[in-house]
Amino acid sequence: MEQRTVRADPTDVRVMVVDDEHDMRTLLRMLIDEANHGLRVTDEAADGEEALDRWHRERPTVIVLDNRMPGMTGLELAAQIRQLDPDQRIVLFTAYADPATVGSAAQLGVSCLAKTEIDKVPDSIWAAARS
Amino acid sequence: MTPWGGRRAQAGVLLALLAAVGVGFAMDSRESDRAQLRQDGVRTAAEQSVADQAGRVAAAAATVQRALGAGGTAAREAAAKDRSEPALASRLLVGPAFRPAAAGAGSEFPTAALAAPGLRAAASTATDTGAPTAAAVSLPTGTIVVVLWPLYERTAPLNTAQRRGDADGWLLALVPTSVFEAAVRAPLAPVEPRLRLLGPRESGTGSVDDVLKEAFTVAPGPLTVDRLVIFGGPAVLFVLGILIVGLAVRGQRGKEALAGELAAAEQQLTLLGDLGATAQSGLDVSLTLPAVLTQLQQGLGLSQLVVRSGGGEDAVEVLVVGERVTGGTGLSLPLYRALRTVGVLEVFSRHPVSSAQERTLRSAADIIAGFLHNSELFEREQLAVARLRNLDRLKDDFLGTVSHELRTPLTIIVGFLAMLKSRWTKMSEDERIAAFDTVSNHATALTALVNDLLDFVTDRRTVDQVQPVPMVLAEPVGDIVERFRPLFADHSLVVALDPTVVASTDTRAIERILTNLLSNAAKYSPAQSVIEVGVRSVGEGAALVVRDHGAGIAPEDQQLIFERFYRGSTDAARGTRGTGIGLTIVKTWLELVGARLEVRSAAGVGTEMTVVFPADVADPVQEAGQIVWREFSEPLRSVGR
Repeated sequence: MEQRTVRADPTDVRVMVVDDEHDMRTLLRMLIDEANHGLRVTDEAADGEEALDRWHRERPTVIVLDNRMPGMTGLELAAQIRQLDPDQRIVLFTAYADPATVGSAAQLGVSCLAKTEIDKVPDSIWAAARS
Repeated sequence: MTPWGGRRAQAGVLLALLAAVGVGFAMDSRESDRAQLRQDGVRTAAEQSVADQAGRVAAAAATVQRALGAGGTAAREAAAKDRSEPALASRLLVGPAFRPAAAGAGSEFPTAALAAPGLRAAASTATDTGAPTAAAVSLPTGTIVVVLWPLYERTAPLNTAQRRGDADGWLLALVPTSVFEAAVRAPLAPVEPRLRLLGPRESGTGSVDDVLKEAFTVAPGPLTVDRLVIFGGPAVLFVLGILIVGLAVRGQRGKEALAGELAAAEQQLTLLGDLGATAQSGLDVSLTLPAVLTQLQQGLGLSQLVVRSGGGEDAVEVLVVGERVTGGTGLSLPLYRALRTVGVLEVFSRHPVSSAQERTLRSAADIIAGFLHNSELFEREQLAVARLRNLDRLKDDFLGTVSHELRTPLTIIVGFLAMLKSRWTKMSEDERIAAFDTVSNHATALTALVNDLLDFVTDRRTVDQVQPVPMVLAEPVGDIVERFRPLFADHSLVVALDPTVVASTDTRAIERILTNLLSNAAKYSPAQSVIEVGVRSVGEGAALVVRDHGAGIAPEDQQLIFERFYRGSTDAARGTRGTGIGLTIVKTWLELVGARLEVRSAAGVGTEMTVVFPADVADPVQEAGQIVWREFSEPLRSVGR
């Protein structure tokens, strides 16, 4: 699926999407770009290692990451990034928002969003960006 | 009074005879007495000391003397005489017959002490029944037993009324409680005091002399004196005194022996009590059992103890305490628990083991059996708890994964359809088709997952049985590969299907088995690597082969990969998306169609799974329904050949 090119605006909120499922990344990218409220997906990663790599090269404003990935889980990745930069905004996109996960995320200062509410992703990102 | 000739001579002879009799009985009856005493479990006899008794009886005697007046002089003399011999634990004090005052004031005892209610009741019973009756009386110095013989005016009355009418008085005898109990009224003796008067009564005034003319027996021993020749006065005292002394001495000797035995028994009971406490103190065989055995060994002075667990030839030596010595005795005691033999306790001792010690050992064996049983149960419980905890953890993991695996494709399907709807006009034809393909692929994946889950939760055995039919294996295999190919886009899928191979199987089985094997191959091998799918003929039937070039199955995982929820111990495995139920499902289907799964795997080479189906339902494959491990026996060759 070709990406719709989005006009790059330096004031845009830059978003990195991390998910091991390629089609999910595509979907998120389309949703975020479609919303076009000043949100732009600048980076994608399929796992924690790749995400860290890209993060070091260019810091996004908000990271949206899946919790279940090979290698590092989303929470583990979030913890690592937080240690390196306590101000990094992160949204955890999770299939199963059980109390333990939500609790751990909250402790890290990470907000949660359930996969069933995927249409709320842009709002979630805005909320994170403004906090 | 009957005239007697050579009274003193006769008295002398009789006294000597009776003395001999008394002493003789004292000696011989020890054994039967001990048996009796032990049987009766009399502890009171053993506990009371000799001096204690003598003092009490002396005091009682004094009281009675005062009560009975002048007739007690002889008693006083006798008491004075006997006091010098402390071994004589008792004496009989018999005063003249006590008769109620002639004025008919009623049968009252002279002093308050002797007017104890029990005594009065005994006196009435004696009169009414015509038989000697005993009663325990509390005197200021202690308890004493009073025996009353009833005395009547005339010959034996025929009924109670007559007896009451004829009652003249009583003959009193005082006996220390312990001696009385031991010799006469032991708790478990079958009958009450057997102080009986046998033989005919002489008619006459019914004096003491007449009473004692008859023979009487004293239970439990065969102490019978037949046809006493009665003398008056002091002689009576001596006669009866000796008889009672004989009893007392016998009782005393019995008491001493009993005291010794009881002390030993108490010691052994204490040992058993301590053993029980030690056995209760823990559940760990390696800590508590040695403590118990050591205690037992030292408590009984044994040289070695061996505990074996298990029955018969399978008995395993659990613990050995001590050293065996040459000579000595050995004893083998089974350890029972709930009527089963759970082991054996072997005892080795330098000295012969007495029967009492053997009894103690049997009780100890019970304690040990109980301990072994408890400790075994505890161990099993710990294992069960660990297994349950592990299963719990795996289940939680499973639920999290299933959630993810179901929601991801659903989210993508819903998301893409929504996007198609909202941006239909802005999308090119290619873009639209691509979007639909995405939706379709994830729908396929979701279907497969749902099928897996349903397979997993269904008890296959109760569902309609699968009916294998002959089919060209390449056809269903080819269909499935094409249908699922998009889902394995990250890998290079190579197919080599021999179209001549026929298998007797079920298409659903092939779909479930193949999709799961492919899924594993994709998950556990790197992106861009090759996955080969082949169908070929083998000796026994038709083979379906799936090979990947991943890391292989780690040796420690080999036994576990077919367990529910298990996803592998390596880091690479941990992160993969998978429910862990795939191979479990494969196994179930193997059983249903009678196929065998061969697994070959090597680190750095990859994994090859071969499913062998029977070619003909009449020709089953070996090890049907089983998973077998094989080595890569030949160099890797192309799968389909």
